[in-house]
Amino acid sequence: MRQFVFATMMLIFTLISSSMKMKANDEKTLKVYCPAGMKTTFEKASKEFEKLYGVQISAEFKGSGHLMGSIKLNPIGDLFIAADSSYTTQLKADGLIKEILPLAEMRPVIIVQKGNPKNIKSIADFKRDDVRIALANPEAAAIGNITKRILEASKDWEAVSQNATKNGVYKPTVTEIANVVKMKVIDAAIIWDATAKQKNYANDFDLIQTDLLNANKELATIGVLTNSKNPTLALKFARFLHAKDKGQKVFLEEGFTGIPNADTWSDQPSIILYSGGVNRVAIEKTIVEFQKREGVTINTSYNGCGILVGQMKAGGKPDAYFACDASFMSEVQNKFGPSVNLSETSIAIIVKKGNPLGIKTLEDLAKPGLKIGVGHPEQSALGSLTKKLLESKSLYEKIKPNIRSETPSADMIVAQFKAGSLDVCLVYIANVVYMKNEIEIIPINEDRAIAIQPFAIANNTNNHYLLERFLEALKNNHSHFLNAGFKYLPNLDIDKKEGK
Amino acid sequence: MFDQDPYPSRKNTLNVPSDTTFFLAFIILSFIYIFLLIGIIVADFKYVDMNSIKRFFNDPNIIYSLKLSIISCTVTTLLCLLVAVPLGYLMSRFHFIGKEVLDTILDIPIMLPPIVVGISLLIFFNTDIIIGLETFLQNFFNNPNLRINPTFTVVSVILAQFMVSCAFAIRSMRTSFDEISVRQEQVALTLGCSRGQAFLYIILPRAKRGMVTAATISWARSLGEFGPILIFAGSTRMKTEVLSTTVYLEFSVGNLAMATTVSVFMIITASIIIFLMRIWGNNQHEKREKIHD
Repeated sequence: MRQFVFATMMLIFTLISSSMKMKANDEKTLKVYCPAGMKTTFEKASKEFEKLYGVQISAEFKGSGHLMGSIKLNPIGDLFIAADSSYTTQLKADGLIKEILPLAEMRPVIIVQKGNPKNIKSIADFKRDDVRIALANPEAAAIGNITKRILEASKDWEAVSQNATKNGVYKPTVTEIANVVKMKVIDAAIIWDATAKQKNYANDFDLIQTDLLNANKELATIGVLTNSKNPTLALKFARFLHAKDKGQKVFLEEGFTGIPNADTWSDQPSIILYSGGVNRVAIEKTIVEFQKREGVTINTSYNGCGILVGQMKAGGKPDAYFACDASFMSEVQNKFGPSVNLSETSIAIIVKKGNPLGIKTLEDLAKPGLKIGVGHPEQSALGSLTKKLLESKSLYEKIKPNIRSETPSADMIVAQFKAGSLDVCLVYIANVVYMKNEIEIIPINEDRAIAIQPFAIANNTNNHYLLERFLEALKNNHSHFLNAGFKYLPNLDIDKKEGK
Repeated sequence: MFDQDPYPSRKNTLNVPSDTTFFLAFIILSFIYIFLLIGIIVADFKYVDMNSIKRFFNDPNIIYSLKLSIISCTVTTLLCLLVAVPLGYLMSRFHFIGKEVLDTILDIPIMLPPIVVGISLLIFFNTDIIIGLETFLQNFFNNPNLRINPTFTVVSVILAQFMVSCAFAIRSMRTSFDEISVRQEQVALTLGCSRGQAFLYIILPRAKRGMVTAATISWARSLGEFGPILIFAGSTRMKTEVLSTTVYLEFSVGNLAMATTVSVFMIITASIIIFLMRIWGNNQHEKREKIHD
């Protein structure tokens, strides 16, 4: 009896101590779900990362669809690689994945036994009775899914799938299909070009290129699981696999097609962001969070947009630019990719609490003796916009004598107004929303009073995809824009679409 | 069970500790397993929903896989008995050179991971000998579509199930023949029965219970068979898809509701069939005992 109790206690002790050990290792381990077809590539690429950073990577290899099922049931782990981007997109929509990075491109290709004994030339031969074909289960594997999509579009699916059922076989992973052709059990199959070119299968097949299949490429992607306990390390590994000079190299060696503008590898990438001063409140918090999660540094230069544009023209090379108004984007648009309008705010008349001077419209600003503050017309978007607004109403010349202060940033005007040296100031609502209880905001209902803030990524940046993720983080944190007094535009787009 | 101590004399001895600890420890340990077992079954119901149950009875793919499962398991079970009865009898009654070796070989399917059985089957049926034979027969009968290779067909489903289940059936049959006294058989032989008659009239009726057990095991093993079927028969819908493959495929799509519905259905079907076989087996046994008394 004593031995029995002792043995039981030993068992419990072992269980507890081993689970504690696992916990201690958590910080340096990553669990990755990887499609069976990408096993060799993955292992090759991850080995270097493990060595460089002393990280232990454990991976589970199955069909993409199956892995997705596992993650849905039990979303434990750090990263999910899918041979077809629709899987990562779907998990992202379900909230199980946070970030997605592209890894490589693949194309479906026909494989036949060495020497092509059955003389197979195109999909048409897949319908022949004497040809045994293997297809991937469309629901279980990415290659099965895309094969079905392509053949349905070309109206071949019915005949081909019937032949597979009658004379061939369905298998749940791409490697199993490659294996049965290698073993000469099957005559022909459709698999990924990258799988076919793997070393394990070197000289096992003949590859047959057809225009129909060639026209379809699929993006292999990696997603960071929302539940990852160590998202920064997971992202680092994801960036490593994605990087032009790291993971991409291995993908190319293994027969994949690379991602054309992949990011360059850096231990801790550092990004330069130019941002209009007015945007600061809306993006500050997001930048801090993003830096922490991604393990990157964002050096932000907040300034009047006129100054920023001047710096860029003088050779300043930011990786991304968040302008305070679209007009300050168009001047440098050729250095950037397409811009995304994130938010808008409009100029308002700001007066002291209770509006002691009784100002109601822009016309009232011409009253003699008023002390007005505006943005500098050349150095700031606000100033330029204000001037255009006043000019459009033929008020600029009338009001000009009252302008006591022209500053390059709205914050300076507001500071002067707060100090009591100005009666009125014309600034963005977003500039003063934080002190709305101490002032009166008189809105101006004019299209010309509206400033739109576009965000764009530089063409020559080495961190395009990193910045795409930053843009997404800005979008995800749109409440910061609302709190800062902006209207959030992408949201409005969605509303409009839904309204239709 | 604690009320009456079957060994009252122990009370007179000193220093006998209470039995409570003993029973408590055993019950706790047993309970851990039973709790887990019931727990995992009940947990499945979390994902079962009405839509999946409706689809289960309406989706032709799933109905097919259900039918194939039941038919293939039954055919496999009959095949297993056909082989296990004679082989179990021979192994139980006779001693010969190399019996230990044969014994070990017969246990291979039990020891091996099922997936190895699948791969080995696939390789065996695609060796040059089989392919050559197929080509020869095709030429002989002048029929290029003649296939003797069972790979990726319904036959391969049954073969994959058979290879694993049969090993269990043989073991079970052998144990049950071991339990039947040799004496009755010998008496029958001395009274003028042939070996065949003695087996048919004396041994076989007594082995009925063992056969029921063997059949139950075979049937249950076949239903649970998965790895070898996937490798050797594939997962072709409306052809080689059995219930375990359905669970796998539905899980692959992330359709947990359907995967668990099929799982629950498998649990219920298997339990009912095994329960019925057990009851039937016990009745047969009792009947026979009465006759013999």
